[in-house]
Amino acid sequence: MRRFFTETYYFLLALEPRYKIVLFLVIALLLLAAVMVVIVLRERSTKNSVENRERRIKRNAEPIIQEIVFSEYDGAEFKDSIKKINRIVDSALYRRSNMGILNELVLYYHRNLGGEAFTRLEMLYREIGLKQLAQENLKNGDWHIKAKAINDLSTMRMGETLYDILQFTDYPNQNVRYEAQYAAVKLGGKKAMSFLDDLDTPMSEWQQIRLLDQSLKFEYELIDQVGTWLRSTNNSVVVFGLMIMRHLNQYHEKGELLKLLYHKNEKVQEKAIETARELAYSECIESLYEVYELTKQTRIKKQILRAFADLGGSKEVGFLRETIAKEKEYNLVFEAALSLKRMGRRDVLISYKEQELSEKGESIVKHILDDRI
Amino acid sequence: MLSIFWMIEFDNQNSVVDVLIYIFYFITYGYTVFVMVSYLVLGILSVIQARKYLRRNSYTDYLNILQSPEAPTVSILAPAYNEEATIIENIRSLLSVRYPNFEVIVVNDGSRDRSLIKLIEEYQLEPVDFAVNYALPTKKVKAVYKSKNPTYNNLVVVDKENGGKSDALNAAINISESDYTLNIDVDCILEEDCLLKLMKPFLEETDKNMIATGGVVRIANNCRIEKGRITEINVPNKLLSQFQTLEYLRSFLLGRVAWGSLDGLLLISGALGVFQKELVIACGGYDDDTIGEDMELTVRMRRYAREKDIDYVVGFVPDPLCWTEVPETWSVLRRQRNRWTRGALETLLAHKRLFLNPYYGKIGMISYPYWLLFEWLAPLIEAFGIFLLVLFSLLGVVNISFLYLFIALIYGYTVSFTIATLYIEEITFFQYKKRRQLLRLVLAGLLEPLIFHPFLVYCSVTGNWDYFFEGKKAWGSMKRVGFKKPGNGNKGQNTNKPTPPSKLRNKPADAF
Repeated sequence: MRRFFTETYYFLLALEPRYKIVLFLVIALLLLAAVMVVIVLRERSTKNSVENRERRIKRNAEPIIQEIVFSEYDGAEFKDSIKKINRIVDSALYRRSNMGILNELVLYYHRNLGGEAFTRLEMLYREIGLKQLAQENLKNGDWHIKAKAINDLSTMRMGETLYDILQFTDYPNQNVRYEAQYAAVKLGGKKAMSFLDDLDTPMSEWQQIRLLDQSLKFEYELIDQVGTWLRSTNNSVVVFGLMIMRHLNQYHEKGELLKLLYHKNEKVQEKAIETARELAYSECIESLYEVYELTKQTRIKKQILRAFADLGGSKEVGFLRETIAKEKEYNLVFEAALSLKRMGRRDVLISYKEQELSEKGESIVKHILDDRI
Repeated sequence: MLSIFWMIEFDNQNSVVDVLIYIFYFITYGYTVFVMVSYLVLGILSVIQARKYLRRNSYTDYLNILQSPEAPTVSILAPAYNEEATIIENIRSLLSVRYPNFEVIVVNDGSRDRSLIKLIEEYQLEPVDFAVNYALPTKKVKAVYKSKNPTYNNLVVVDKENGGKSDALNAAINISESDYTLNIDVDCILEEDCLLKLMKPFLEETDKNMIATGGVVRIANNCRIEKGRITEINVPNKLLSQFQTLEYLRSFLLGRVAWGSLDGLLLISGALGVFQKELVIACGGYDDDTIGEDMELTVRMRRYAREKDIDYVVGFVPDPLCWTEVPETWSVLRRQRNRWTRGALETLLAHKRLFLNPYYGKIGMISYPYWLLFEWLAPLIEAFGIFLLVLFSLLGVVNISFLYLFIALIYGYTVSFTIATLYIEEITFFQYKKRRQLLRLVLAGLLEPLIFHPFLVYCSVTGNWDYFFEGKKAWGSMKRVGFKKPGNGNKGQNTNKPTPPSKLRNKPADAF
């Protein structure tokens, strides 16, 4: 054997450099490939063992959780159950991972339950140490751990952590910041929305939709901050303010709304028109005419024509008729015709049909009058 | 190529020829190393991006958007030509996508089979007085149908004269009333939450204008499909499809994810992509005269946005969102790849202005040159290298032992890279759950560089030949056999009766 190695060594030593390089690379790559196959298989085994552990924890902990949630437990029985669950997840090596599995299990139940069961699950979450774990993660983790911890705490409605969470509503990492903002609204209601008053960072549409979804759960009352949001220099906050105004019927800031019809940001302008329409703010109709003349954006013009359907009267019918007859932009003709239909003025459209209209105009009117579409 | 020059036995006196060969040797050496390193860098970038995506998604709840009155409207555009075997199931799958506000627009592009009749019967369609705005010029729309059944209220079927896929998509864009369009191949199976995931980047972007997003396409051959949904994911049975599975994994999981993170994507696959409709119309829609219409539109949109000073971005979702059938015979695959080569070439030549043009930023300085040098030229250089190898062997100047060693090196690199891809799949999206399936892919990975790769090089060379010397522009054809019917107990999709040939409108699975 020794001789073999010696001979191989001298053989390799005698090789030209180009041979040596290529041979080294070939061996390294083939070894790498072999090692990676092993790693892939090992990864598969690890996954399987985690899955098995997950199944075992679920199998053992689920009946206990169900009992806690669905039965009338006294204090001693509750503590006893907590001890049992602790024994299930207890492990020298995998305790943290087991707690993660348990966390997902509790969250799963929480998402699918309500009422008294809901409250007991929250108690369990606190007592079992999952809340503490989430709070630790909030302080020490990477961005994704922080964000997940905030998400968990808000899902489990841990209201007492609101103050901790509020610290993150202007956090540099966008994901953490968004989760904190969402959690703040979920846990603190409209009062916690004060973070919007001086928010500098932009909020994505996705985030606005999430916050709105939570806000729609509020009981109806006036939200004083809406005015502040509408005056914000952060356009995303203005857009969100308009959404709140519209969906939560906040009529008290109509003055601000009127100003926003002239806003330089198209998105804000569009949302403002939409809000005026939905809130039936017919006093703004003269401003809408003005904006229609000033803007070059088809989207804004379309919104105004749409608003005329809800806010307008006979004057606007005339304007819409004129638009159908004279406007060259297809989308505006279409929108005007649609508005007339929405105003209940099919007669105007039918009279058009009978008169001479361009081929384009005629097909639009036919389209609008066809109720199957 | 590099190997050839390492294998030549030079004499000691440096003739002019020797010097030229040395220069060529250094160019090719640099090229090879650059290709290998770039694949490695893209791979690393992909892993970082995919992990970030998965971490963020671990707590994302799509329920908010699903219930939201503020969710933007989306039109799913599905052009169909002679798809009678699968069209009913496929439309059903499209209609069951989870999204709050969407419509499905199916364009029957002058099919010669019973596609339209089947649709009318199944979905109780009737013609309506739909006003078509020809914002994008297309062949004549004969009729627009809506369903009498309110369940299918969001289905629109357009019957038009045959004009090809681009024309059909343009017609669908004209009909669409939404701000965004999801452009797909009608034979694709979409994941239920596909639209939610594809729309998320549009809604998340705050600084720039998101103009398009793409998603990962996976292979559906041998998967179990029930009611238009993938219910069991399997590795294809046939070796050829397994090779393509590996190729798609590398292409989407490593390549596109990385390019997406660099905002350098030049291609949103025709099988799956969401586009901002206004911008598509503004830049002229799909080009009827190209066969690589998906890449051409992506490049044109980017170019248009840059020229109009729109601060834009193109996104990519690393999740597997769409499943498609791939060719199972070598002849069909050859036609497909030949077409892809011609399509990419056509786009590259049409937009040659981008090449190393700093005005276009990353796409001018990185993406376009990369495509040109490593997507288009790489197979040609490889073929040229093989030609030289044969030539030098005949001349007796090749060192055979070194040749073997070098082939082993290239083989080792390719296999390592494939296995690294499988590892990344394992730690990220983990679609192939059975151990046996994983081993089958490893085995396919060992054979792929010897069988599949040379075939692809051949297809690429013939594609170039056909483009430059034959002037070929037509599409190939592919036999659609239809996905398996649910409940018949068969796995896979290849047991049903064959359908008439349809256009082969599959999606590029470029190496990167």
